[in-house]
Amino acid sequence: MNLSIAPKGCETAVIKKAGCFFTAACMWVRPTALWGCPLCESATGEQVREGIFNADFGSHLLAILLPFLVLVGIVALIYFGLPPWRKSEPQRAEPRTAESMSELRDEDL
Amino acid sequence: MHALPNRRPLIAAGTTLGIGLGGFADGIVFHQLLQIHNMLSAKFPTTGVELERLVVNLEINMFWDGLFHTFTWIMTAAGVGLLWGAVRRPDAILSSRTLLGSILLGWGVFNLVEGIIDHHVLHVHHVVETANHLVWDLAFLGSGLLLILIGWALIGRASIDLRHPRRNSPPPS
Repeated sequence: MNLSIAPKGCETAVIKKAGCFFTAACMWVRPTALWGCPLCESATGEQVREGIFNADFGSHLLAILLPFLVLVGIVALIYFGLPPWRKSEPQRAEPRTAESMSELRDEDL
Repeated sequence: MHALPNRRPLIAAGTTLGIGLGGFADGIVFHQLLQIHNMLSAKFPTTGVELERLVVNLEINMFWDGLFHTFTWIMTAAGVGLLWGAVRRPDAILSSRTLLGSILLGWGVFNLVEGIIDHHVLHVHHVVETANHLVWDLAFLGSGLLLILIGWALIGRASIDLRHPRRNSPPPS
């Protein structure tokens, strides 16, 4: 079902224009700029790149990432609970009914 | 007999959201507005250096700050996803106090974990790059502990309410 109110040829022209615009935008945002380096053509830009992409890149990336890995582990612990070998005794919850759940839903703020 | 409903999905979602939002608060307030606490400011200092070196160090720190914000964005998006999953579960309980407490808990855990790893173990940056940075770093850890305690108390209070869901309701006529 065609829900468009524009003439068919007009739609094609719009798509072509959008494609040209997207291509031009991609050419304008060159890969060097994507690396967060607006001064890449200058000597300062070269120093910035050397300061980022060097032998320490991996260790710097790990330093940034490490806290997040620990935090994801903490969230997983909250979500899944302790691993089975750390639990003292298994806890089983009875299946809940819609009626009992409505009793326990609170709006406490 | 009723078993307690499953609060883990909501607490996990709130904690993840808190981690993401806490990371954004850190990045916006400290990195951008106050222009301190940049990701590698201990290795690429932005104070006490010549102007040309300052520009280079600022750009390098900006790159790593961008990666930091990328990870905080991912955590926030994951928190929204977990929250959506939690509200759709039939056994999950929807408690505003639990959600708020979990968000504060997540923010506090973020400050604590980021502070211990980056400030005290790896030494990639400090809150303020001065000679007495330890005071500021300890204050940062203290803020994390305080947020955890407040969040924990809110979650605990909500669990008391859940065990007595009708204690505040008027007596039946």
